[in-house]
Amino acid sequence: MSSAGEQRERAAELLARYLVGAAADERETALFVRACERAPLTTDAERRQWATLLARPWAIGMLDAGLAWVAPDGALRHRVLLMLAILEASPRHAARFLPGPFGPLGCLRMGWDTALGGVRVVLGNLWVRLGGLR
Amino acid sequence: MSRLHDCLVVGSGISAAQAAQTLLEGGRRVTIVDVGHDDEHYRALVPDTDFVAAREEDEEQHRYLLGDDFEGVPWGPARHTMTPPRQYITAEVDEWLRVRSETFSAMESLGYGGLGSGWGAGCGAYPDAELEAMGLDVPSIRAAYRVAAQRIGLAAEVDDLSPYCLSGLDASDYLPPMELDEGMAAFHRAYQRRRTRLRSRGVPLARPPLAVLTEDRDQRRATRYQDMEFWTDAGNAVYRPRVTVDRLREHEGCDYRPGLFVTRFSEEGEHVVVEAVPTAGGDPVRLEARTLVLATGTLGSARLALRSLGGEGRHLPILTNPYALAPCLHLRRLGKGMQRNKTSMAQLALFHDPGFGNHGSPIGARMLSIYTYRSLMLFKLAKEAPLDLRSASRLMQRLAPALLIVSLNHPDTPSEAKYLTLERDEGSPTGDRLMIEHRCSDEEEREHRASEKVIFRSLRQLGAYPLRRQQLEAGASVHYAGCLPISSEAKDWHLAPDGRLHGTRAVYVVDGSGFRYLPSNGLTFTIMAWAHQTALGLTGSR
Repeated sequence: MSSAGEQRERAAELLARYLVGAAADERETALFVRACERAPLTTDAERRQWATLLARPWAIGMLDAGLAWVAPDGALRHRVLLMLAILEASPRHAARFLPGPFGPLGCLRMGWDTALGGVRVVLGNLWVRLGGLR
Repeated sequence: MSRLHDCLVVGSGISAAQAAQTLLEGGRRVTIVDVGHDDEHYRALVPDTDFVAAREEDEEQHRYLLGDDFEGVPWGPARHTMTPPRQYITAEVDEWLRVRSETFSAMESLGYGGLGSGWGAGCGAYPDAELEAMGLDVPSIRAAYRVAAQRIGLAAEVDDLSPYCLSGLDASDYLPPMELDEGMAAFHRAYQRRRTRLRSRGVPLARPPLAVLTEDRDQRRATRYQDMEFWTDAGNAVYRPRVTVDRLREHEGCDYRPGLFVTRFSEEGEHVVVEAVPTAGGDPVRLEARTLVLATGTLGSARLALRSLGGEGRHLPILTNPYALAPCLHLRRLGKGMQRNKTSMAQLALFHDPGFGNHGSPIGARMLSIYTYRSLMLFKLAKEAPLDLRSASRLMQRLAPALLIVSLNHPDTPSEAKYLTLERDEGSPTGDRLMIEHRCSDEEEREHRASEKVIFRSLRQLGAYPLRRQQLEAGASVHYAGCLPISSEAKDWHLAPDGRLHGTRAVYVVDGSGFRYLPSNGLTFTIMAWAHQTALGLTGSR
């Protein structure tokens, strides 16, 4: 079993790939490791969710979406939000977060993202509720 | 033997700054007693540049945007939160200014400049009917409005909101208005096309007067539309009380005493005695003065009065604007960019005046402030969406230029279900805390809903579709008033029309405590006028 620090470093890597499609750099990782102190895992369910995130990176989106409904105030969702904030406040990702103009293709992309988000919500809800993650 | 002070002003916020300035200009000597927490941590980190440049270039931005302890990443139910560089405003409040409530969310300050350091800068010179309902003397407040406007710098113009926001002021009292960004300009044009119909429904829309410089003045710079108002006061384009207090401290008649928390007052013979505790620890301090001016905010003044005059268990009234937030989608802006130079402050305001055209009285008018959204970061919006955060942040990034954030204030009147009282709290440094109860009646709730229906229908007609309406807890507007109502009768727990607390000889209250009615349009500018008017009386010049 890796240490809490190593788990957080690994989670930083996975969450950055999930949220912006790129690996976290050294500073973003260090900030996330520190930020996790703000969101301690206090229940068995939260520890199971954390272990699932580390073990099944392909399913982070579903887990996140399910928890947005089932445990929106839980530690795992808090940690994902902290990573999102860290990435947003990083100059190398500024273009990804600052609003800009877009054309019809952007509209389609927005529709696709939203639809995909909806699918994640449905599947994630089922998974979190029936999979013993709450 | 302790030194006898002439005027002791407690606090350094909006009302303290105006009162102290008037007292000094009138020849009185002033001692400002204040806790005065300040931000020594983040101020130097925030670059004097625009928000986009900061985001694209500043490697250290996470320090002030998120906070070194991530205190700028809110968690839990949505509510007003301060950005890390502003969090000094509420530092140590939970320890010194304790409040217990199931229905009321109080915000107070022990910071230098008080709550005014985070004020949205909206100004309203109220019409006569509202001033009368508040218990204020109309001609005196009208004159005081003009003084306050000159002191702080008011960006305004004559428009459809003037009857609600600029009553009695003329063009010599204000500066050119703030410029609208592209999104707001488009929204304003939509209003102009439907103006006649909306006005007939009692729904005017225009730029609200703001305490923001649009021209350089003294040591303050005109706004450069950097969209950084929530993060820094560089240039002091937005008026903050510290602008005034900093200048007053250079006056030889002014003594600023920071680090002191005033716990109570009493009167002994011709003098007022004030007891204070050093917040850094140490023995209590006793100060004597000819006149005491309480500028501690409505809740602070109520607390001090109740504690000092033996009011434990007594109910005092409390007013606060019922408050809701509604993000709206301005569909015509979808796909458009967001211009680099804009302000973070409210750019437009909309009123709903249910009495419009009937009785001609603005009593009961509702007010909406309208903002565009960028500088408070996308992750705060994404957090509120019921989606995974990846989809939510992508969605919000595309929606942001089309988002209008609307804050909705309703007026408030006293009732038995709106009160505060002082109760024992052995864990508190003062041995007590406020208990606050604020519940609107069913009738009030119905009126709010009916008005909101008209407002949201009007917004839709202007092309802005409300996505959700979020009712915040009472007190979230951070507009408080009415604990010690103005009365010409000499009744305990009331203020005389000159601001003196009945039952005392020389204790004056210059914050919003005296207002018997709370209009929907923010009360800060009227607090300034009231503070000036009261202080003017103490100089013998009125």
